[in-house]
Amino acid sequence: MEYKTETSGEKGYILLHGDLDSEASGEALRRAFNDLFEQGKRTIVLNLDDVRIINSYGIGKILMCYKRLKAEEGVLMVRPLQGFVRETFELLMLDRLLPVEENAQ
Amino acid sequence: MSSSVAPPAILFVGSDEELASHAAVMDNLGRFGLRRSLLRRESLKSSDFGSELAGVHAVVFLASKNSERVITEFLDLKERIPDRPVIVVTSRGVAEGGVLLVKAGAYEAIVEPCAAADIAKSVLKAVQHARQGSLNREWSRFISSERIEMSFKSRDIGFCKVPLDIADRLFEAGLLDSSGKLRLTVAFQEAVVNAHDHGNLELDSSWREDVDLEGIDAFTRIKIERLTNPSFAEREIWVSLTFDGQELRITITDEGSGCPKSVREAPLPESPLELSSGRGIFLMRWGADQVLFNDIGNQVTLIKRVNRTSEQRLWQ
Repeated sequence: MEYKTETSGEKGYILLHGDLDSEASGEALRRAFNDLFEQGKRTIVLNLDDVRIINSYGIGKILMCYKRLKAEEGVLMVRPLQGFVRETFELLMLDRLLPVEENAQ
Repeated sequence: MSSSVAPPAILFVGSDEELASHAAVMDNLGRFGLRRSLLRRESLKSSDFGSELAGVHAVVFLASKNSERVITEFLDLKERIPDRPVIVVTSRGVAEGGVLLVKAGAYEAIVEPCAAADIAKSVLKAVQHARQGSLNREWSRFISSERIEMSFKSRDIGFCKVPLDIADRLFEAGLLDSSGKLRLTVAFQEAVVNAHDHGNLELDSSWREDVDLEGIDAFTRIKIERLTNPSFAEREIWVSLTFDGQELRITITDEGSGCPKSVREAPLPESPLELSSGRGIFLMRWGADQVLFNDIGNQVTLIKRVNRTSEQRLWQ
C-alpha cells in the first residue's frame, strides 16, 4: 500500500494506492493520517479511487481515523466512492457515516 | 506443510577495523525484536574471507574494498544459500559496491554509518517478503488442483496477506464476475483473519478501542507480542479447498476455543460504529453463498456456487 498526503487550506488529503486489506496497509493509512493530524488538520479526506479491495482491517483503520477526528470535533470525509469499495461501504453502512467531498480538490 | 522461511544472511563489507565494530552491532540486533529463530547460529565460513566469525548468526564478513572481489564473494554466497535473501552492509568507501550487489541480486544494501535498528528493520522486511512469496507459491497450486489441503502456523501469516488465486481463476473462466471475485476473496481473507486473530491469537475486538497517542491500538500491540510468543504463534490453521466445477467449498479450522454463537448469528446493527466486532462475519456472508460453522465455532466452511442458473444466497 502506497500513500500520499496533501494539504489544501484547512483540509488534508490522503491518497491511497493498493489494497486496504492487511495490517500492513492499515498501518500505512495510520501513518498517513498521523502525518496530517499532527499538522493540525481536522478535516481529512480519503481518496480511495486507487483502492481495489477493502476488508475489515481497512474498515477498522478508517473507523479509528473517524473516531480520532470526531474526538477533536473534526470530520473524516471521502472522495466519491466507486466499485467494490463503494459496495463494501454500503454493506457496512459507512456511507452513512462519512460525508462525500464532491468538489474537485 | 509450513510456510516458514530461513532468515536472511547479512554480508558486511569493509576494512578490518570497520568489521570489528560490526560484532557489536550483531550483538545488539537481538534487542530490536528479532526473534531468536532469525538469529540462530550457523556458520557461513569461507577461507577467502578476511574476517571469519565461525558460529555467528548467519553473518559473513568480507574484508575487501575491491568491487570485483566483493561481487565474486557475494555470488559465491548466493550459490550456497540460493533461497535466502542477502542484506549487504557496506562502509562508505564501498558504497558503489553495495549498489552493484543489489543489481547482482542482493536484497538491500545499507551504507554505514547505520544503527543496529536499520539492519533489524531490513531483516524483518526480508523475512516478510520471503514469507509472502512462499505463501503465494503454495496458493498458486490451486491452478491445477481440484482439492487441496494445507496448514500454516500463525507466525507464518502474521502480517502477511493471504491470497486466493482460485477466485481469479473462476473469474477468468467467466464463472464469477469482478464483484463476485473480490467478495469471495474478502470472505476468505476474513475467515483466515478470524481464525488467526480471534481463534489462535485469542485477540479481543474490544481492544481496538484502546488507542494510544500514536493511534496504535491495544489489539495491534498485543498481536505483535503474541506473534513472538510460541504458545500462540505455533498454533496451526488448516485450510481445505474443493471445487467440483459448480461448488467451491473452503474450510478453515483454527486451534482456538471457538467463535461464540452470539457473534456468529448477530444481526447487522443500525450503526456501523456498533459493529466493533463481527464485521468479518458479515463480509463472509456477503462473499459466500453459505457460511457454516461447526458447533464449537473454530471451523468455518464457505460455500460459493458458480453455476449461474442456481445462484442463491443462503444464510446459516
